[in-house]
Amino acid sequence: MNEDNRVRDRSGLIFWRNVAVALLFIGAFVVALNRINLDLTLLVKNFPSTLKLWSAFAKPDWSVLGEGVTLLIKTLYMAFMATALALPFAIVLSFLGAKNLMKSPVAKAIYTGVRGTASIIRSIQPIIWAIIFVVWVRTGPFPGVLALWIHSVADMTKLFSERVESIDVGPMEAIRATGAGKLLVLIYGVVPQIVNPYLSFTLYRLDINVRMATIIGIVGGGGIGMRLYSYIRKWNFPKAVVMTMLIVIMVWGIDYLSSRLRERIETGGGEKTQEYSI
Amino acid sequence: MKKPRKFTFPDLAEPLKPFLLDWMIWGYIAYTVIFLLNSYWYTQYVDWYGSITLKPWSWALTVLGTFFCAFISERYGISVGLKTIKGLRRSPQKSWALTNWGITSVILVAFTFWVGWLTTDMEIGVIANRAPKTFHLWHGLSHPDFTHLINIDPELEDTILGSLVDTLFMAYLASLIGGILAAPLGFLGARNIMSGSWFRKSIFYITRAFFNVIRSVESLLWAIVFAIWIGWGPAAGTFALLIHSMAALAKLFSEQVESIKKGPIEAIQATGASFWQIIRYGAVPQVVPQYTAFLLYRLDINVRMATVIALVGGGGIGRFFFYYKSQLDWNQVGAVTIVIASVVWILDWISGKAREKIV
Repeated sequence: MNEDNRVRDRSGLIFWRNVAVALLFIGAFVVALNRINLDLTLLVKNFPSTLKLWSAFAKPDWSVLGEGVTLLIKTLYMAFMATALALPFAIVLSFLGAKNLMKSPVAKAIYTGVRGTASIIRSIQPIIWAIIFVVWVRTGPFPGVLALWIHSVADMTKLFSERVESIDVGPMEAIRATGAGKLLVLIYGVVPQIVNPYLSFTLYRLDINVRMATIIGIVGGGGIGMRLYSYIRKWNFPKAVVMTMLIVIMVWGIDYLSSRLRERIETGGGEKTQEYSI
Repeated sequence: MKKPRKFTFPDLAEPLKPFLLDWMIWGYIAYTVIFLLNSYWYTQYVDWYGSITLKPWSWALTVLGTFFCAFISERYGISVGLKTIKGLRRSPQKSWALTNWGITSVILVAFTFWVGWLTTDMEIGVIANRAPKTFHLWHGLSHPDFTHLINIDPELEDTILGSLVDTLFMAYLASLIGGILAAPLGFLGARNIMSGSWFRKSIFYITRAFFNVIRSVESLLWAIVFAIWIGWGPAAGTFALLIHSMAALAKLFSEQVESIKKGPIEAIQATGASFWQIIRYGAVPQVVPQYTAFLLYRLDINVRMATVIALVGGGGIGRFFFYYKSQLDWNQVGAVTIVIASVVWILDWISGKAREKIV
């Protein structure tokens, strides 16, 4: 009887909590709508101002295709370089940033330092890093690669060390029981458990870097985005449209390849999810 | 009785696939080799076409040569294509690095890295050389000037905190409206629901293509479009984030719908429910928690993006960042950066905790 009452009380509490949360969301929505001035009628009313842009899709200027493909390849290389250079750093830092491996007081301090720095770096967008690196090493693909690199290192460190934190302790203990040292425990107890997730995260990050590399040129980070933005600023839409189409094709392709490969890595080859139809 | 075998396109494509993959790999190796030869031998860069210093007949030779290499590798059993497409297993005694895949991927990564180093103009020395020139930058960033945090900046007619609220609202509106619009689109883009009739299949392909194209264009580029469309300001940024979130969420959502379990659906089917009732009571309860997690993740991404979308006229706190940066007022830039980093960090943490709880 008593139990029942308590359950009923609690369910009432949960109900009111849900109502409060819902009201909070709706209230924020209304306030935000007013503050941002999100006016759908403006989209209709101002449509003529974009006619020049849409009409460019009808007659794109294909003379920039060769230049566009060259820049596209350069952009891909930028993303690849950023990911490839970030990988070794992230692998080393991920062990230093894993709570379950860093137990002594000194190690704990290192853990806190690594994870804290990674979170701060990760919170700042690659575009902002690109601005800093453009000041540092001047414009071109190099600052773009550096910006993507530093953000990738931080992001991959976080993802990787979270993965290390969730490993199974069984194999580690088994190796330790044989009298192996710390390094051997790491190599034979930890590494086999994390190779596939690491590969999969790296591919995921490559995918993100390809996307980011297409826009990092806006602040002078090189790649196809730089040319695209200059065409847009010159109001040269027929050329900008060709560049955009190339970006869409590349990002789509890389996204497809990366997701297929990741699927293969995660399932260990071949196993497909159950398919059926209603 | 045996049916006569009907000729279909995949029949022809299937044996060609491994060969094409091999040819592509050899072609790429040829490209990198020519690139490296050119960049060390001649001082000219190799473009995709045009300015390459090869004679026309060498092109034909390269194509034939790679074709021949692919043929040879297939003939003598060192083909990567066959292993990948046909899924042949490697013998367990062999170490990973000695398999065809291992050797090929090491070669490919090494060549790509080398070419990438040259093509992206990597000069590590420059970092050290120009480090003294960035001193004022680091000095400014580490001595933030918070005067305009709550005092109105006369140039921008807003405070940093005020624009921060704008930024958060932009991300919130974009995620919420985008998420609501994405739900029906996600059902239209799910293979298992949109199979059967020819009409349904065509809707599936159109929806999928539609959100893949929108998703491939970054929200920063969408912001340019909307800034032209409705003028500079937070509304343009919100629309840009909204359309990109909608496409991204719809894709994630449709994948979620595709992976739902059969049991509950069959149970509801057995009661004689209609198509819509099956969706409502069989499919929806299976996808809602995951979808909420995606939504929170998207909110997180949108906040990050909203902080920089002002670069192309999208409004928000980025306005302050790019304005102070153009004035080379690094102390103020430092203050804005600290505000951005801490907000993104806090939201990342909250969203992570909430997602953990939901899933």
